[in-house]
Amino acid sequence: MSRVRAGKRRGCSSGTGGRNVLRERVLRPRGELRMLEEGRPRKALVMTKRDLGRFVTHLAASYVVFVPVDEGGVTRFVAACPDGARGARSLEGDPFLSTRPLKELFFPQQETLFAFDAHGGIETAAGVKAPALGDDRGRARARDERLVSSPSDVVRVAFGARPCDARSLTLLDLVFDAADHRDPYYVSRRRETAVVTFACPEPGVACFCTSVGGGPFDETGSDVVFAEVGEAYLVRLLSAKGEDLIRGFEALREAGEAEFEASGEARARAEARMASRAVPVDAAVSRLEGAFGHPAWDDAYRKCLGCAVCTYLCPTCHCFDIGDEATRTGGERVRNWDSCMFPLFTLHASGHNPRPSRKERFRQRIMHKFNYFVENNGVVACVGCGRCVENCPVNLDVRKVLEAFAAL
Amino acid sequence: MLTRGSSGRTAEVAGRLREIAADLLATGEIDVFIGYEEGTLPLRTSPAFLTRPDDVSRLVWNYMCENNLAVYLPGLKGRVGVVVKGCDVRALVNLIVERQVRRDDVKIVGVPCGGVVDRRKLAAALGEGHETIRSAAETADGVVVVAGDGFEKAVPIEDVLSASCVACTHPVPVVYDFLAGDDEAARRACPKEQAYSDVDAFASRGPEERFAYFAREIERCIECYACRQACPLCYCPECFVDRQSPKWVGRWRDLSDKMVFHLGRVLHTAGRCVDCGACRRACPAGIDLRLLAKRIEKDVLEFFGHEPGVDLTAVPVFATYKREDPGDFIL
Repeated sequence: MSRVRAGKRRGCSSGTGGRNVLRERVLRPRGELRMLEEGRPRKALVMTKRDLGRFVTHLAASYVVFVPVDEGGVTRFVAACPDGARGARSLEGDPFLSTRPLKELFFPQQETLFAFDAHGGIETAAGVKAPALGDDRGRARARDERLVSSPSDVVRVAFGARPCDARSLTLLDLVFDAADHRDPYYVSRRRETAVVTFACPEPGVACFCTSVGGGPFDETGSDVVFAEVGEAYLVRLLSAKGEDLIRGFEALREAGEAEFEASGEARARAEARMASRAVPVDAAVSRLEGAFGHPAWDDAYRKCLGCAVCTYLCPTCHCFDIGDEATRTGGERVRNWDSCMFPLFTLHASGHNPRPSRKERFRQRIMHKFNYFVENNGVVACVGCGRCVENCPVNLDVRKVLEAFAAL
Repeated sequence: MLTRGSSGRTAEVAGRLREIAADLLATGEIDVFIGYEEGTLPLRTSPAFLTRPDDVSRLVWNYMCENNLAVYLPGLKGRVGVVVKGCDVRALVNLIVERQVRRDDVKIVGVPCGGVVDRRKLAAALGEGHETIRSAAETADGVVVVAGDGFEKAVPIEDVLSASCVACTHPVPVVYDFLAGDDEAARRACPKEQAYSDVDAFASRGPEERFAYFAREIERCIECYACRQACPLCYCPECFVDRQSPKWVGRWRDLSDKMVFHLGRVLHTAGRCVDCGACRRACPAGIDLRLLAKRIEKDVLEFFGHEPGVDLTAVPVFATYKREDPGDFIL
């Protein structure tokens, strides 16, 4: 097994300006952002493209494997068939950036926190029971059928993530797995899931990961990263979870200098491609400090329609609403995604709404990502995946908004 | 992105729009002009709010002007100039008739419309391996050349038009203060007897099959409400799905909750929907309920002889009553 030198990791390049204090703050998260286990020996192997399908099948024998699948024009991570066939099919050609973000494997759009029933009347509301943490089809199946042969806690594999989505998980960790508030549902799903990422040799037209501290070959948040090298993949194992995944799969050989070199060149090409359209995120972050009342918001929000496309498809947006879904004899306490773009998000019981118009709501989204989150966690809450850019019905491009504020 | 290579007709229209906007802003007849500007992605334009005559160079016109700008008018303060296609102006007429917009406050700048490209149709036409489009330009009237990683293809607009445009009976705005371009620039109107051919074909299928189709569409809904927000006629201060007390619609995994929203919305726009297609284009999941809305449009036309948005004096069909209205369907 060859070791990847720590120096191979790309330095953070935002493409704007020189180093300054703010830049340090934005790009070097403090606190608990779990970077990969630095200094840990990491292995790199080579797998031919032909073997990819077989590898998914191999994984599916021991884990529940989620792969991006196109369902009527919407791609999302779906559990592959036990024999891996479905997964293998969807991975022919390069895995794509899914329409729906990877976050939903950890923080689903809807989930039950606990269920209750009302035997003996509403008042007694007996039978409150917490479900097994992180209970969902995948885990339940894995446990029930005793599919798990891995010595670790991992029962699920997210296979075919993109570096931006993998990175987003480390940002969500700051919210759901912080020292003073840990969300058991999220945390258990994170613990039992390995993330296998495919690097992006050809970033898309809406991508801007390099401007927010990531990169098309970024390894943050991944347990394994596949990078295309001709008719094969350079497979980097980045954690114990990752090492477990390849156990028992023979069709791998150690990577040589040639593969490292080819992958390094692909990475340089991909990053160069992005450098020409770098977004001045650092400058924008610095201008947003104190810009809450700036008249620039009057222009910035105007074309916004007030839908939740940007927030729901965002891999780092994490706001939710808790409610009860009752039936005649019981019900469930449920947690659903919510969006700051909706008036209901801040509507008070009195009828007062502190964010009365789309302007205030739009400002909230930008400020949360590029000011408040930085304040709280030392890093912007954006991974530059471009979903909000691609899917906004009116092409209200967050990159333009940041440029406008950077230029103030 | 499409405009750089724009030629012929669409370039002329863009030039005319700039003249009109500059005049209106310079004379102070309007406070803001709403048109389209170049988008940040290939095959996209974006709504533009202009307040100074110097800004008008940003205005563009092409086959990607897919938003219905009438959506911005309800509640907008001041006097406004707005660019409208044949369908958009019919939504605006509805807004005026329903007293959401004052006719005197708006300068209607109509464009005889050549149709709007359906990006999903285009992606399908390009086929696999052409997912990443890096540029698009109109090379001649009605032909767009799309280029991406390792491919370049010329696509006739006619092949990738929105379904709404194919069935459009009013490509030339029925009401306007200014018309940017002449009637000949517009698409040929779809003959009335052909406007419902796809609806009729769908209606001839069995109920299970039709239900399965709509269920499949609605299943993909992510409840972002982009369809509602993109619709000029969805201007309720509080949508029924947002009502907390009583709570009409659950937010849960049940398909019926999503269905209630979509069906409720279609019914609420009955006799008002002008088939502009804005809801469908706004949907990140590409949900297509057009056939349902179009069928209701046909019923309203057949039962009540009402065509929405073509007459500034016609009362909306569900806001009036006539003795001879059919009542057989009332139980």
